[in-house]
Amino acid sequence: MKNKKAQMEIIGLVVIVILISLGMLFLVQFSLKEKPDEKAFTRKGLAFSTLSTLLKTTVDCGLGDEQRRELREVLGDCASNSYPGQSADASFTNRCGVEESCAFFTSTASGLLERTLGVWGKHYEFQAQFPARFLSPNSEPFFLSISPNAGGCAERERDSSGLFPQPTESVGIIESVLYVCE
Amino acid sequence: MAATTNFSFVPQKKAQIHMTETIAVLFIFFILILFGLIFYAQFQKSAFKEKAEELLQKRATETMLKVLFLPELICSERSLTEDNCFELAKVQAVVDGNLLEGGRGVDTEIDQEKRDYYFSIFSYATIKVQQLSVAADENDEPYVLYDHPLPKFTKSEPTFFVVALKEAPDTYHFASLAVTVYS
Repeated sequence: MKNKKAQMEIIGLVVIVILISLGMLFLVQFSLKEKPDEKAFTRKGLAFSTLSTLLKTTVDCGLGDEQRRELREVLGDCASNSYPGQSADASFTNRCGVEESCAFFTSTASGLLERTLGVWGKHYEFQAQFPARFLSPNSEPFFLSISPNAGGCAERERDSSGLFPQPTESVGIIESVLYVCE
Repeated sequence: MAATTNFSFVPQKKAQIHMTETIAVLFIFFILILFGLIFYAQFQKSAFKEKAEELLQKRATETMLKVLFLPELICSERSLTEDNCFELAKVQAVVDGNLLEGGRGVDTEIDQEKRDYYFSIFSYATIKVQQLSVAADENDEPYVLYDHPLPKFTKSEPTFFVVALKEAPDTYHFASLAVTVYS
């Protein structure tokens, strides 16, 4: 009789343990459930459209239609005049207005990115790099890097626009990329 | 006599204790079940909220894609279209003629048909395009292409994108596209 009672109590305990385990499993299953990828998709598309639009935006380098050029041309000119080994006295052949190409590109691009991605609460990082043959093991691959004052996308989950290759006259194909993160 | 009374009292008391014990166990069991149900209900409530948000985000993305590929706005030449690009002339024509909202004229049957047609595409939403320059100035007034907020909406989901505004064959402006959906 005593033996049977002990068995019954053990069964009761087992039932409670099973119930608690089921609850735990249920909780773990829902907490590990992945969030929808909708935002990541939008962010990737946003990075791509932002960079493609940025590079084809027409800028006015001076007065008159002859001074109008796409930002990608300004970036190409910046690369052509700042690659490693370029002589120090090399003049900027293709300035944009009164500014040097690199300075003009940096101020224009960061202004536009700040007025869109910055205002929408996104962090970003724009990078433009030389072709591999211009790089020595110790040299910095990027000749231009733009990120907001609040910080870029280092150590954050980021989405890339993908590489945008662009042929230039003196350095070959340069590549630009834009990273967007929350 | 007294001994007989004591003899019959002991098993009765034991049964009472046993019954109290059973009731206590059942009580605790039902309390556990109740906790489980409350937890499940709370969880379902937040899951439902999350699902609603997810659906709203999905609708925002879908509406954004519909706008990006709207023939009334997209840059095209012959049968070729350009992604993430709107023609400035088309945008201005849409705004001036209030095209997506059924026109500005008398409320004719055709206007109503147009309104229904675009409502079936965008539902309750607001679509704006804003040309941007490096420095903010007065020229940055947005073009409101479609404005149908849900009356007494409880939640709105804005989605942003960057598009090029094509003015002439070789002139592109930097612009933002904002699509807000409501629920």
